Amino acid sequence: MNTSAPSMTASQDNGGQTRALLFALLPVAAVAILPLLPFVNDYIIAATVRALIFISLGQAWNVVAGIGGLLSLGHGVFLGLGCYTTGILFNHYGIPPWIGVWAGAGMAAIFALVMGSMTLRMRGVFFALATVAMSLAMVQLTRHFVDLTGGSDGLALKFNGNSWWAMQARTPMPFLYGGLVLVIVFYAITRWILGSKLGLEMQAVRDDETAAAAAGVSVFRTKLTGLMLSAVMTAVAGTLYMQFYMAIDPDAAFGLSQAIQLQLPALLGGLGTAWGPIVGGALMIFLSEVTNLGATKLEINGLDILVYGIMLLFVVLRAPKGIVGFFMDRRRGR
Amino acid sequence: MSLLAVQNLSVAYGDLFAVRDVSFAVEQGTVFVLLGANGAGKTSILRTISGLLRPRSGEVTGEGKSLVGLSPHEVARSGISHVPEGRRVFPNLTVEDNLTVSYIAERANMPAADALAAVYALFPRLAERRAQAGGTLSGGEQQMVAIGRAMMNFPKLLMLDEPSLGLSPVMAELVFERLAEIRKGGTTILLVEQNATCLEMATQGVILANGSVALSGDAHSLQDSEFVRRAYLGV
Repeated sequence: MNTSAPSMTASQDNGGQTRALLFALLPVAAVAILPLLPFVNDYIIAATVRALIFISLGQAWNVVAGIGGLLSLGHGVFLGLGCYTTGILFNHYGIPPWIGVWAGAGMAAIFALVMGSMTLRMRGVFFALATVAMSLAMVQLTRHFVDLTGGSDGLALKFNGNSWWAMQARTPMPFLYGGLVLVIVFYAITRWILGSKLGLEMQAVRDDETAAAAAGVSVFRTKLTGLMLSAVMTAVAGTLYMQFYMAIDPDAAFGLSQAIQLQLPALLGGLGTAWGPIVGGALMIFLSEVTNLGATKLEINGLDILVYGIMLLFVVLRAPKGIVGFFMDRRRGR
Repeated sequence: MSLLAVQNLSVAYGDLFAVRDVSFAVEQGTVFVLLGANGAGKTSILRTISGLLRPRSGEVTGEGKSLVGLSPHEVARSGISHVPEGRRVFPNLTVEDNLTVSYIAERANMPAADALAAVYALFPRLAERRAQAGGTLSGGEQQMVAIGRAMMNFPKLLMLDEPSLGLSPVMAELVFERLAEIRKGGTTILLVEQNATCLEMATQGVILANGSVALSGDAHSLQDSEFVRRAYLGV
């Protein structure tokens, strides 16, 4: 079509695409063969599963916050809906998580629709505050329906031995592959959004609401669609979270430190990029494991949260576009 | 029936009236200018037409249908495009994505690639910059993106808020030359300016002072008027 394409797009030729594919397949292969490696034990596999779960959760938050520019500080609500819906359906009604995951996703979609309709016309900081209020309300609600949710003590999945049907296993290995599939699917979804008209509209609204509206974009509907998509993804990852950890409580779902852990992968790795949450999530869990080992020796609780804070500070000051954004800019020579 | 009619329009921010009882009509195929100094109410009128502001009183109609109460995106989809003051290019989107955002298949009546090609034909510079982020462009190039983005909507009426603001004289001349080209293509233009030289390319216009119409008529009579000579040309 156009022959005077600038040199920047030269890396998107066939050779570049092949290289990009290899680059993407490398970490996938590394995770897939992990259990075969001689030095790998259940501890390392479990840590990797944690990373995969938080990469998925980070990818989901990235959709609404990174691509859509909506600072949701209450995404724990959707994580909680995924966990609790799956757990309650299994414990009380014997419904397997294979079905529970869709029920949780549906709950999250409905909740996002209602919450979005009420809050998305607010601008900037007011939306963020509203999402915090939602989290606090969910804590109270969970405590109130104690028969269903287990209240403050939390909800523990009934365990009857390894079972495909119940998506339960004593070893972390099956979750390694479950998590890997989820990460790949969420990565594909993010890439699809970024390349779609919806993604363009979300980014336009993020960059400049007024200009987006003048360009014919329905600002409210675009925000709502983004929020619902992200909520559904978070709840689906929530089901995996529940099956792996086997328990959830109000603090683990709706608490402040969980809210930070949902945001950190995308913030560290690079908001609005498909690779950002993957790089950031892996780094976050790696550093958290290392500091927790150190913290046990030093007998300091919550050292990981302190490390998160320092990492966040570093990223904000030195690489506001995250690790991926930092290297993308350097490659472009900016 | 006028392409756009504004009748007895008043716009207020709280108790402060920015626009008071303004009426004018823009006919198909013309270049209509809203001329006025800073704070004369020009931008408020444009923002009201495009649905970003609600009028205190009065009526705005597009081809006889009321536009009051429509959302900005609904006004845009009805064929009225607004190039906002200060260009407001999406800084993190590429030039091509900036343009594609406002592509609507039903309005363009052609595939997106053809619509893009039409805009690139109007602004060849944008084709060269298609993969570059909007925020890295020069002011003149950003103005091209802003106008190109509006043209992707294939508007009946193109509204521009001070397109020459902050541009070099050479670049401003290029922008106005492109606007003349757009008009030849059959698009009606509503231009907001505080520079009286734009009357040269206009057919009709209104001069605003403190939110009210001071003078109206065809462009030549405005250009020759005592008011414009004294206030804008300093002769």
